Formats: sequence, structure tokens, C-alpha cells
Amino acid sequence: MPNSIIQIRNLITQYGDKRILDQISLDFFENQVTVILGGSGCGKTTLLKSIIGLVSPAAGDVRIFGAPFDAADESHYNSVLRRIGVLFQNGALLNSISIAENVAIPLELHTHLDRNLIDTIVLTKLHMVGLDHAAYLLPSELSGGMRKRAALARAIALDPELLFCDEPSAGLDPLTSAALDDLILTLRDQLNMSVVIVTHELASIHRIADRIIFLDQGKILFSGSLTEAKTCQIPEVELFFKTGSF
Amino acid sequence: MNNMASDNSLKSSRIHCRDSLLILDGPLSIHTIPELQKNLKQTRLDTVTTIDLSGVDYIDSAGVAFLEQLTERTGSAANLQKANEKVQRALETFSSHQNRKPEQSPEPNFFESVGNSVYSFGESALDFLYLTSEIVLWSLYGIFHTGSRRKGSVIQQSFLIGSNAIGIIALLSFVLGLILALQSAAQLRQFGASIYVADLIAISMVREMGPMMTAIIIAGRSGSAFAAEISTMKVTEELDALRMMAINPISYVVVPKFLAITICMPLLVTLSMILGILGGFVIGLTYLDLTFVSYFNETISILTAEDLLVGLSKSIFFAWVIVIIGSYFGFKAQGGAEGVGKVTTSAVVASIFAVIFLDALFSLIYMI
Repeated sequence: MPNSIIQIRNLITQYGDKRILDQISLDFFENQVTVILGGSGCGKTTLLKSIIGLVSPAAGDVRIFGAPFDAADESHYNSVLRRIGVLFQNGALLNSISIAENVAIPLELHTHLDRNLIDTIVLTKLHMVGLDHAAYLLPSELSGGMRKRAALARAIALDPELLFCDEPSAGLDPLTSAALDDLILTLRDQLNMSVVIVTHELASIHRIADRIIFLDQGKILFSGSLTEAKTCQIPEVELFFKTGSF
Repeated sequence: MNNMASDNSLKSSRIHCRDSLLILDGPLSIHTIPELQKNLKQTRLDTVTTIDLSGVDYIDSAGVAFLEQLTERTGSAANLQKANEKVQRALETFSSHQNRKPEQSPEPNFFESVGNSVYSFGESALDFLYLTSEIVLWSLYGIFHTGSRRKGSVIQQSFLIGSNAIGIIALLSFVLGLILALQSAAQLRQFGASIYVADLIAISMVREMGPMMTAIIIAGRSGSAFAAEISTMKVTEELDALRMMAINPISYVVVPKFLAITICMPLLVTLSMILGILGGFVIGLTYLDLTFVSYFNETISILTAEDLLVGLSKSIFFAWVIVIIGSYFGFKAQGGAEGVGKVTTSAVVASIFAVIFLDALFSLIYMI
């Protein structure tokens, strides 16, 4: 059994009076691709944001790399963030600078590498996502899929130990989506990266998932390996793996 | 916790040279490279032909980039040897040899830069004229055809531009009247001409200070809001969405502002004139010991309908300039949050400049 890299215990998250996540307890394991699944509004993105501290939980405990992950302890929070990469649903690239500059930001701010090395790493990361030819373009000059790939290049700029991806394949054509899946697998195998992905894409799930977390109305409906998920008797899970819909 | 990468951040690496062999030990990662680069400065590389990686147990993309830099410095003659399977795979994955260097367009020379500037100025001027004509056209159309905009939008804009600005305009105009009266009273009193403070305040507030002061406040308050709102709509593709719904963005977004400011500005200017005169009146009564009746009569006797007309007519032109400039910069916005900030600042600066310039122009016209 691999080591647990994220431990969540009794997590409750709510927006106002509306409870989004209800008593979630689960573990994410090292060197695995874990896919969080569930219908719209079931709390997938909120779970992701609760883990990385963008949403404050009402109750419960989140530990990353063995220590509590609390935005209130700023120095610890920042030191953990440097070991984490996050790909947001809409990319969240800074629009006023080129994508090469976007990718260079974490390298410039969090390392002492010289300019030549940073430039080489930036181009390598952009090449990995197939965007080295577009390095000096502004995000507004890219398509939605390209923006997402550029955002992924920025997320992996520091070779993080843990990568969170919020719907990485959404809006991408099947070929690009498959290439992105291959890249995620490469990152897992080459850098021992642990990856947490929110996605609905069945083809992508079959390709990359080591483990599945199935959410329904803020609770965990299923948690297990991909093989277990495919043979699961829970109607919602069974329906999804048969039809690809919830 | 047995986490490979986090462990490597704690380990250190070594580099040392033995004849033609350069030996690397430990992890080559983003954490260890800066130290290795420092050590490398004291190492002679000209005789190196082989780089021994047998001691390297981990390598990330920064490590690969470092190795490539190293082989380049040795004249690309050095061979990488004894890399374990994992390191070998990482070398293949993160190799920059497959990177395609993007083409950058060459920097323009002096004449090209001048040409580009003149061209873009001409283009901006044309855009401005085009937008102005469209706003005027759609506003005239909008007076009679209310279906092209959201119901109640003119009232809502009037509230935002007019009602919400009453307090600040009243206060500043009153204080301005006080200051003007105080400054002139000190001089006029010496010649026994204190009563002419009333004339001075009345004329300056009605013909100049009232309209200009109000226009500057509205430029800062509402002009910036116009530019920020329209530019945000532009960068979030809301204007494109309006177009796709067969709705003219100018008619939908700008015309309500144009009509509202045309109604509100003369009213706000009137308020500013009254409060400014009131400020002077307070000084006249308290500092100059004038009576209420004498000050009031002097003010009424000096003001003519023409003065009022000059002040109010100017204010309408100021209002139009503010809304057109705010909209122009809003539609010009590019990029994201920074683009919005830039055009908002530019809109305020340009509006205030245009108001003062236009005021000077009107002064000349009325003198002739």
C-alpha cells in the first residue's frame, strides 16, 4: 500500500447554510492518479478547493505531506504550496503577460536558478504540453484548449510532488486530451508525482485513473481502484461506467 | 513519509572532477542545482570528456537543463555515462533538444517606430470619431425608440451618475465658494470693495467653476466607472455575447449612460452654482459683515440669463465628452485585469484634460 499523501478527516464545507461537503474522510496516495467523479454540483471542485485551502472548511481536518494544511499558518502554507501545482478549471493565466512569462513566474519567485536555466525549463515545459511554438503569445491570443495546456505547463513548472487538476480535458479535442493524459502519466512515473484530477471524461478516466472517488450530494459514494469501480454494484457508479453520464 | 522529491530537497549534491571525468553525486533537482552551479565555477571543464551519473539517484527537469548546460560548456564533447534507468528516462522526457525555439518578430527601427506611432494615432482618432458618431446616432435613435435598451436603464444610470454624486458635489462646491470668497475678500476689503465679492463668486461659479468643478468630479467618479464597466464587459466577452444576440453594445450599454448624463449634468451644475454662491455668502456675512439683503441683491443684479446659459450649455458638452471618452477607452481594453486598470486610468486622465481644454475653448468662443 503506498503512503498517504493527503489525509482528510470529517471535512464539512458549506456556503452560507448550504452544506456542500458532508463529513468527508478519505486519503490520497503517493504516486497515484486519483480521479474525483460526480454529477454537477456534487462538490467536486469544492473538495479540491477545500484541500488546497481556497475554501475554508466549516469543520474537519486536512493534512498534506503529513502536516495540517491551514492557510492561517502562512509560512507553512506557502512552503507546502511550493510543492503543489494547481491547474484551474479556466486556466487562470495572467492575461497581461505571455505564456512563457506565466510559466516562468514560479521559477523566478521560488528558485535561485539562473535566467538561462529558467528559460530552458520554461521551453521544456511548454514543449511537454505542445506549446513551445506559442511561448511569446498572450493568453488572449490562444484558444481555450491552448490556454488550459499553458496553465498546466505553469502548474508543473516546479516539478511539484502533488498536482491538482480541475477538469483538465474539458473543452479539448480527443487527440489533445489523450496527449495530456499521457503527460500526466509521464509526470507520475518520472517524477513520482501524485495527481488529483476532477474530470467527467470517461475515456480519460480509463486511461489514467489509479483510484476513483465518486461523490454524490457532498458524500463519498464510492472509493476504490479503477477495476473495483468498473465492477461496482452501486447504481450511480455502475451507470456512469456504462454510459458515461450521471 | 517516504516521498522521493521531498527527501531530495533535504539531500545535497556534489560535483568533482578527476582528469577527464566529471562526477556528479546525489539528486539533481530544483533544490540542489543552485549550489552545484556555485561549485561549478571553481571546476575546470575544458578537459572534461565524460560526465559520470552513476551517483545520481534522482533528476528533475531543472537537473536535465543543468546537465545540458554542462555539456554545452564542455564544448558538447562530454558524454553522459552510467545513468540509471530512471535518470535515463527523465533525460529523454525533459530534454530540450526537441524544443522548438519560437520566432520573435524583430524590433522595429526608428522610422518604423515613428510610422507605427503615427499610424496608430490616426487609427485611434478614426476609431474615436467613429464611436462618437455611433453614440450620437444611437442616442438620438434611443430617445424615440426605447426598445433598444433595458427597461429603466436610463433611470438607473441617472441614479448612479446624478443622485449618488449630489453629496460630494454639494460639499466641494460649498467649500470652493468659501475659499474663493475668502481669498478675494482679503484683497477687495483693502479698497472698501467688499460687496464685489458677491459679484466675483456669482460670475465665477456660474460661468466657470460650477460647470468645471462638477465635470471634473463626474469624470473621476462616473467616467472611470464607465471605462471599467465597459472594459470588463469587453475582456469577459460580454460585449461579444450581446453582439451575438443581435444587440448593439453601444445602444445597450452606452446610450443609457449618454442620456442619463445629459439629464443629470445640468442639474448637478445648477446645484454646484447654488452651493458655491452659498459658500461665498457665508464668508460675506461672517467675515465681511455684509447684510443678507445687500449680498443677495448684488448677486441677482450681476447675473444674467446669458451667464446661466453659458454655464449650463458648457456642462452638457462636458458630460458628452466624459461619456464618449469613458466608452472609447472601455471598448479599447485588451487583456485582463491589467488592461481594465490601464484604460480606467487613461479614461479619467483624458476626460479631465478634455474638460479643461474644452472649457478654455468655450472661454475663447464666448469672448469673441
